[in-house]
Amino acid sequence: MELFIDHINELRYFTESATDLEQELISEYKVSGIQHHKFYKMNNLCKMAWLLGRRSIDSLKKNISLPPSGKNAIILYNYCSSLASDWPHASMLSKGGMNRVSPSVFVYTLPNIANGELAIDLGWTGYTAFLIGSPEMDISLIYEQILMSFHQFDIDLALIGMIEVGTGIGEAYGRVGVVAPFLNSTIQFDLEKAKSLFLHG
Amino acid sequence: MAITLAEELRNKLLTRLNIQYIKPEEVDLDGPIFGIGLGLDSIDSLELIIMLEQEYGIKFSNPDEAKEVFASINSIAKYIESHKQNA
Amino acid sequence: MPDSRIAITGIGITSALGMNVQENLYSLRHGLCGIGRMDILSSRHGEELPVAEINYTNQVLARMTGLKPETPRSVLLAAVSIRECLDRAKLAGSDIEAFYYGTTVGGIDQSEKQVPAYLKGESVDYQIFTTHDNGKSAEILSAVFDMNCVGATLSTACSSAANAILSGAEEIKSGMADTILVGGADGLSLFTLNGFNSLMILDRKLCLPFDAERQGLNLGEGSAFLILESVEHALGRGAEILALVSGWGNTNDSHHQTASSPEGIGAGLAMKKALAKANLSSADISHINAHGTATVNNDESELNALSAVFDIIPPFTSTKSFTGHTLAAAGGLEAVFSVLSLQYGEMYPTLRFQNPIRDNICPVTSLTYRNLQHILSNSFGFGGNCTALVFSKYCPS
Repeated sequence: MELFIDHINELRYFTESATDLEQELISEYKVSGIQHHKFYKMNNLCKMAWLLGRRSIDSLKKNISLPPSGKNAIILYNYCSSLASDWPHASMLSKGGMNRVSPSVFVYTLPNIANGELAIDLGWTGYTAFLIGSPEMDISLIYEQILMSFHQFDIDLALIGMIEVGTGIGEAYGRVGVVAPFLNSTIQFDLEKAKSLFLHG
Repeated sequence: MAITLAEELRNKLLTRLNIQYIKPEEVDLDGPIFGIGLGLDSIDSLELIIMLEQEYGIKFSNPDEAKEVFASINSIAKYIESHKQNA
Repeated sequence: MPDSRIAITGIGITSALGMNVQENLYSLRHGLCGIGRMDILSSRHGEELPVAEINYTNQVLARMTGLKPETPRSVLLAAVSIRECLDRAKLAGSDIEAFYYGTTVGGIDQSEKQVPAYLKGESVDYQIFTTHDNGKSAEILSAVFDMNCVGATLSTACSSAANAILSGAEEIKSGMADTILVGGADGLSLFTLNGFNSLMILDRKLCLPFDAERQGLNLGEGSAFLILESVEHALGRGAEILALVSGWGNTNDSHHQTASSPEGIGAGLAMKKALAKANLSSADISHINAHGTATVNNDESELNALSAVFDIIPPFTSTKSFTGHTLAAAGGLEAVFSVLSLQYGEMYPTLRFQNPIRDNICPVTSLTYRNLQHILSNSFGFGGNCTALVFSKYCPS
């Protein structure tokens, strides 16, 4: 099966704190023109994932009608997992003990909540996965995961991306695209393309 | 003019729950806040339970107990007042 | 035609029930619950929150595995059960061509120790933080066992290990690797204990899965791994085939970050997908190892999903009544228990069950012997991630 990729979107910030990064993402949200009342509650990882994901899918919808909700997958990947929320949760616990722990922060200490937020918003019930890698890991592993999902999982479309959002100190970066066998795109989704999508830089 | 308990609650609630898309004055004190209205969900309910404990000394032993109390901001204010009297 | 069915040729497990398959089997057969007081993890919750803790310190686990004591607890536990799994499969680590590892805690238990010092501005060993994310754990294990691959880590909450099994099964089917190690591990940590406590879904007493009086889950810890290969490959090297992975399905509930939809929509879809993949009808399922966490939300939702998928719900059980909820490792532990059920023709009880939620629907309540053909195992994680697996008895075709 030949797969194509299109509707690639990217966001990149250099900030000095989680709050700064949050403000950047909120500014991005405000100019996006899409409304999502739960946006403000999301942690920075999910805010980034959602902004990119919605942008890709909204532009995709202008070209084609989506497959049924069970046929659409969301496969995300990063190195730092849910550090964006792990750090505040661990800090709150350390400073204030069990009474200062916030359930809304804890909920986001799982990176796959980012898949969940997109799935809820888009109404998708297909395959979702969050993979954690490392700079030493071969990107071909992620590439093969995606291929396998198409061949074996009965999916027709995948929203894929790398969302590297950590503590907000330094670089935060995300790149998302849509992969399917039937896009109005001639860009083949091959290993080289996967590398350019998923590797930093 | 002094701020009422309900108004104070409203401000605290919006800050705590990170609700930034609406101004406090636009939130109806009598209106529903869960599901429709402010669209709060079960996680917000847990945050509110914690807020009531930390800021007003009110304890709930499980989330279900809180459901009725959280019908509107005014109902939460009433509950706090009645508990303060009993304390 | 080569037999491309997916065989399980090795299993390894650690849990509060024991440090290997034999010990776990013994505990299951004799109704020995692993949930109790917190001894090793020190927390102010110690008195009030029962946990299914493994009674070995990291120091002891380090000695058992040859790893450093600062190694994350999840990795130490994983190393113990990977060793058992390889030994049982009669394989060396270097035979492993692909490795799928499910974890959510990763190295958080080590990182959290450093947070107070960091916040005070005291000196901190930054090396500790390198294992914080989950990815490093798979790397460490891959290196320790000299595997022929770097591991991929799946972090999908409570369905992580189940998704690792699913990914491994996929890869065997696609012929991209011959011998795959799959499973997961999560150790207890203050991070998760306090986090779950803030969600108010922990029972202050021993958990009651599928019981009308249930109050929430008990956290547990553990690790479980399986070796997957095609039947053809297994027979070719004279390996013993313990069971088959015959079906799998993953869906998203698309409802809420932490709560399942009341009807259990995602769960039902995942089960149907797994049945379809296995080419089975719901009537073919002999037994179900449910997700059964004992939260008010999950058990009702899961029961509704079971009612929707099955005309008559087959005997079902929650082994979390024994092991607690081991988070990312749960799907792995329950896969091993399903294999044991198939091998020995026995179903393990849901401990402490007394009151059905509705319609007199009761789980298995005592050790029951039955010739089992196909077992369905459910694992549902936060983020709406629903995975169902079908394990089947191996019969030479």
